[in-house]
Amino acid sequence: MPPERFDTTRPFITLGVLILVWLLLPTVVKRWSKISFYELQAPVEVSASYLRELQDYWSWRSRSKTDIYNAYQDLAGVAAQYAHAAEENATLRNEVQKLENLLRLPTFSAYRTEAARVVTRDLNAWWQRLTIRKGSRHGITVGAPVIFAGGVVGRVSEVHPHTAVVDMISSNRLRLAASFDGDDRPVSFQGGINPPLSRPEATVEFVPLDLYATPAQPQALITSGLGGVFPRGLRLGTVTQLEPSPDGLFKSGRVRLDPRLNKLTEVAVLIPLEPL
Amino acid sequence: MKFTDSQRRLLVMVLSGWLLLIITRQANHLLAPWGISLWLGGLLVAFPSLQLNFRTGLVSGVMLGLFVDVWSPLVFGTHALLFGLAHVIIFRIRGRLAASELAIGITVALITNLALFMVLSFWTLGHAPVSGLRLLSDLILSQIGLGLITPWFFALQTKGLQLIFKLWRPRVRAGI
Repeated sequence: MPPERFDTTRPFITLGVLILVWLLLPTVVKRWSKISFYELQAPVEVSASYLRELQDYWSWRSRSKTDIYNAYQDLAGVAAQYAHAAEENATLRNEVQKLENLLRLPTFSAYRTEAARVVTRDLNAWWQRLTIRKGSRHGITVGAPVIFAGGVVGRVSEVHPHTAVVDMISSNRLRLAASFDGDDRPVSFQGGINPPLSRPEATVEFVPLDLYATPAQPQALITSGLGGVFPRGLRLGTVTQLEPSPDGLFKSGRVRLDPRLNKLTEVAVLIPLEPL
Repeated sequence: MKFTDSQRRLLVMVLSGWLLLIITRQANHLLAPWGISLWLGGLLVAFPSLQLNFRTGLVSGVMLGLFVDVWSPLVFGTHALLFGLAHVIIFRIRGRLAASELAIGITVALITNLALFMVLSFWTLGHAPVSGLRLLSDLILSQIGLGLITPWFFALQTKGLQLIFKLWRPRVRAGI
């Protein structure tokens, strides 16, 4: 029979041995384990998202014909507006191309958009992530920017064959270069302040002293195009407050993000036509 | 295919834990628009640590930790390590507790969840900007949710163990 002291510490020794074995395991084995555990669970998550869509379908089926007719009329109006916008867009593109040729400017890096449904929203105090229902089979790559109607959603952090994971701009793990609308100087943007029962917020740092923002006169914050991930001009949020930082060289403040970020059901992934 | 008693217990623990994970993730998906979320990690460890032998509880905790790790941006194995450590500590002190009592089970699950939540908060956030109110609201909601579902989850695990032994034991005895 082992001495009592050894017997009482044996669980800790066993755990210690287990940790040591895990640390000594080659990275390939750990990566393989992670993929295996992910692919085991992914079908359940995806099935749940299809079930939610089926639920929506049947709830729409229960609507009256008058409701459906009204929705059709609204949609017809929106479709006409989009058709007009598409024509304008084509004209502007042609004009940009002409000017580029005339001035011998380098062309804007082109992206193709891949629309994807949201499988799961995993938004907690520690991280803010989305799982989407498209992956490497659809050409999505790690680092690809993700957008929606209100601006930037985030950046793809993991890609699997049929799904991908997006780190949202409301997450404190995502920091990027931004700029104020109408000002080219870059500032630092970082998410992470997500109060309960309220819209997500982020912080902005290294703002030049001559820029001002108040709740009465908010300033729009957009992507700066620096860093090569996000194209320039995508909307991030609205800066409502700027205060001098402790060193007095710059200002820092709060950014109010789009409240729709917390209830996204569909997003678009920007896939660069030329690999980054 | 023949399973030992230990493997059968492990199967019940992992399957029931996985079910809880799926339910929690779906609940969090629905709670996301309100800016609140649930975290029930303590409940995954409590029952095996209080009721089962050391090895089964440890393997169950580590496996469920790996299931959780897949969905987190932390280093793969972080939750497995924390769940394993929580199991070792509960297993070490369970001799002093009336482990079969439901009230004790709920208390252990609540304390474990609180401790793991705090450790993960320090581990994950560091100096990053965070809303303290969000952390507090998530913690309170998780503790309330855990207190409410622990009796159901413990009953599910107990019934699962009873069922799996009822279904499989006669076949093993008959040598099938």
